Amino acid sequence: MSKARFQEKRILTTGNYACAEGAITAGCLYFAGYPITPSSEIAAYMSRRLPQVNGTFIQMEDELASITSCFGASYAGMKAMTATSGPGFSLMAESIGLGVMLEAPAVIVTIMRGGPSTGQPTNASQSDVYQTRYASHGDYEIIVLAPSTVQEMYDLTIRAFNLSEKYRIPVIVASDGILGQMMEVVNIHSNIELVERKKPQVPPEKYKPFEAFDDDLVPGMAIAGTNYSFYVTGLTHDIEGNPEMTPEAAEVLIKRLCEKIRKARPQINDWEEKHLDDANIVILAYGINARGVPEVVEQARQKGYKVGLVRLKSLWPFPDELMERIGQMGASKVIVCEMNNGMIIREVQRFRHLFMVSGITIPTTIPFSPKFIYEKLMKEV
Amino acid sequence: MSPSDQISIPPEALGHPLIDMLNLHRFIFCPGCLIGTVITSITSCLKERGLTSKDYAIVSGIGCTGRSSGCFKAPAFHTTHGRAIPFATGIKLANPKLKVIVLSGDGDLFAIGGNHFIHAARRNAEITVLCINNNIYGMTGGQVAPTSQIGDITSTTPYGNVEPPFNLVSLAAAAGATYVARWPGYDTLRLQKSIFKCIDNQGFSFIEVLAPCFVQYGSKNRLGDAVEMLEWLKKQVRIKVDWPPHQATFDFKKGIIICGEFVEEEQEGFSKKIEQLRIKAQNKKIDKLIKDSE
Amino acid sequence: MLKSKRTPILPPPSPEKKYEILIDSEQCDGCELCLTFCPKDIIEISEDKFNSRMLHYAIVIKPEECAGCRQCERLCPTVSLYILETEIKEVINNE
Ligand SMILES: Cc1ncc(C[n+]2csc(CCOP(=O)(O)OP(=O)(O)O)c2C)c(N)n1
Ligand code: SF4
Ligand code: SF4
Ligand code: SF4
Ligand SMILES: [Mg+2]
Repeated sequence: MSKARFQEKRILTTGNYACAEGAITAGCLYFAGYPITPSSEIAAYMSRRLPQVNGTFIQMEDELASITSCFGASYAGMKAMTATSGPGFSLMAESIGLGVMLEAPAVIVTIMRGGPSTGQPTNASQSDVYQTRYASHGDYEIIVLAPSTVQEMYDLTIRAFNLSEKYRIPVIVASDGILGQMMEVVNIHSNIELVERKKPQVPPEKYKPFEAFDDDLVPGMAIAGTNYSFYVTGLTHDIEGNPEMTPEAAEVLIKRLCEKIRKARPQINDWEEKHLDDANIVILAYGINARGVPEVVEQARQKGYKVGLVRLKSLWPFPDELMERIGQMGASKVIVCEMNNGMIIREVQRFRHLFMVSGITIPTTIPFSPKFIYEKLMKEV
Repeated sequence: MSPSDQISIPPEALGHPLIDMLNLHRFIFCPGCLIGTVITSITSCLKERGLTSKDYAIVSGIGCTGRSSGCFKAPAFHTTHGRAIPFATGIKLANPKLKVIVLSGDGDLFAIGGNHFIHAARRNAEITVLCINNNIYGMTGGQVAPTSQIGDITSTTPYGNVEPPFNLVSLAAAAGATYVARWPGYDTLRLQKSIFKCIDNQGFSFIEVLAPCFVQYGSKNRLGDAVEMLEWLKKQVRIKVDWPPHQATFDFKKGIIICGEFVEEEQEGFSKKIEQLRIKAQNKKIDKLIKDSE
Repeated sequence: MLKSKRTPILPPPSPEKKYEILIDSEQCDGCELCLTFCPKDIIEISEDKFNSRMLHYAIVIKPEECAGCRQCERLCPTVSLYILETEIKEVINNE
């Protein structure tokens, strides 16, 4: 773990710039991207900023190339990032699975816009929440963070790098068109904790690229250009990296890859909560759509309704513990607000034995206004 | 010495000079397939240059040739289908000191990955790309490839292929590769000379290696076994010196395959240019970056 | 078998050099590439012997004629064959 020291300052900036600056703060030295609204500013900012810090910016020929080259750079020892939106993320899908298999740290920022297909390029949406989780084929776990403010675009991007280095997995920052473009004040902290990936724990002769010694199930990562020789493949492999086509090999590998993330849920999952201890109804929201909810909660509380709030800052792995706690604390109902046809709500519905679940799930491209949520809430109480 | 004496040599005693640089258990190719030959050719070039595993990285895509990266005792990457070149570009840009070698199939590099190939050549990214051209998709059961010739029988062109093929040499030259060569895989001496030039080239280098697939291409087009196919190939190969890339004929019908070196030029590589950008950016000393970017 | 033989660039014949052709019979696939391209017909595929993978492997029939061109070594796709070069003088000294 290392610390980055910065001059403490406050700046007014957009979500995309804050995200890019967060990446620089986190030690990102490689950015490969392909322009797409509403994420293009991240690439533009990186193209200016990276050469100044001895980094590399490259505009690739497409998103397929962007993401794969990030994994290449990652395996050559650099912290790498790419940014895109739904259509580009679709193209990255196959290689995200590669990143999971190769256990290559990298950060993918997706600035969600209206879909499907080309959809509404200049508008926001939360309809890619499933895409971030399930884009690639096969059984895998992934980490997805969901910022709500420009400050969080900065903070969670840094966190995304830390998590991806720590667990050796691609981490996705799922933001949206409004958050990417809007301006807010961002506090640049003076003291930021940075995580570096685990180094090989044995000398080159004994090194096996997928041998995990520690409880966290994360193997030490060798990089190209050192004395370590290793073979990493997207094929199902054993700890030495040898392709293995037996059912046992699949089970062992997939279990470890998933377990290393599931095990770390307490460290990964992050949310903001308010009034949970006495809440009867809990409103659950995330991302841009969560910004109006605190106002609604306060309003309802003034009227005497016992309403609580949960704002998810990490979407995947889904915080099951939080749901159980909400159940234990006695809430009878959870209302999920999201700008899509119902995605996170289905995760919450897995806990219907603990509380009732209802949703305000509309595939719209503007966040719900507090007034609108309040009206809906009044129908539920 | 009688033949029986030969087998008494235990394998451990066989100190093949390349054995330390290769993973023999990952040679999974059909007996007589030249993919193995190309792997050893690359390895012996690396060895002769005194390069060790910390000096280079091997990247491959998917396919029979895709499995070749595992044969190298080095940082070796078996990526997704078609994406070997961007992966290699990432490695090279992140660590320009490394020699990055891409070894992949014709389908991988020119069908699904064709876009990456032309763009990497255009950028002059300092990577070496070796394409094992067997005019077919070997691993998936012999389907038509962008290099299959008109009339070729494959599992997806049972009545004969009607699409004209890419001429990989002309394509690479047109896209801007700074070193382009084509060799039959059995011509190991010339191939190795070419690989040396690639290793030294400060730009995008491309070698097309003809390595017939007798299992898929040969059997479907009745060209015989591995050795017979090489004989068939050999009859068509014409080695030329200073031949222009657009005249690098590759035609099984006419029985002419022009081999040789077609492009050899010096041009500043991509990672050097990125280095210059850094100098430019740092001289400007922009402090208030966020303000600046607005 | 090849009908036309490739004429390899043979090193000048050197009376002081002795070449030993070493073949790892376990690794050998019996693909015939080495013998096909050997200008001196020094290698052959064994007709009666086979390795643990049930493949007939390459054997050396007249090692004394080897020209040391290493074409076989460079071609062998399984890394099973290589040429050991010894100076004859040395051999005599040892004896
Ligand atoms: C995205 C994707 N599509 C298709 C495949 C199936 N596939 C595997 S190898 C291959 C063809 C490889 O052909 P080539 O690159 O010529 O290699 P060869 O086997 O001939 O060496 C295909 C289509 C795949 N692995 N991934
Ligand atoms: S299928 Fe064809 S290309 Fe693949 S290993 Fe066999 S001979 Fe070589
Ligand atoms: S080339 Fe190699 S594998 Fe093939 S027969 Fe000769 S020794 Fe055996
Ligand atoms: S070195 Fe040359 S002459 Fe000797 S066995 Fe090999 S190919 Fe034949
Ligand atoms: Mg092929």
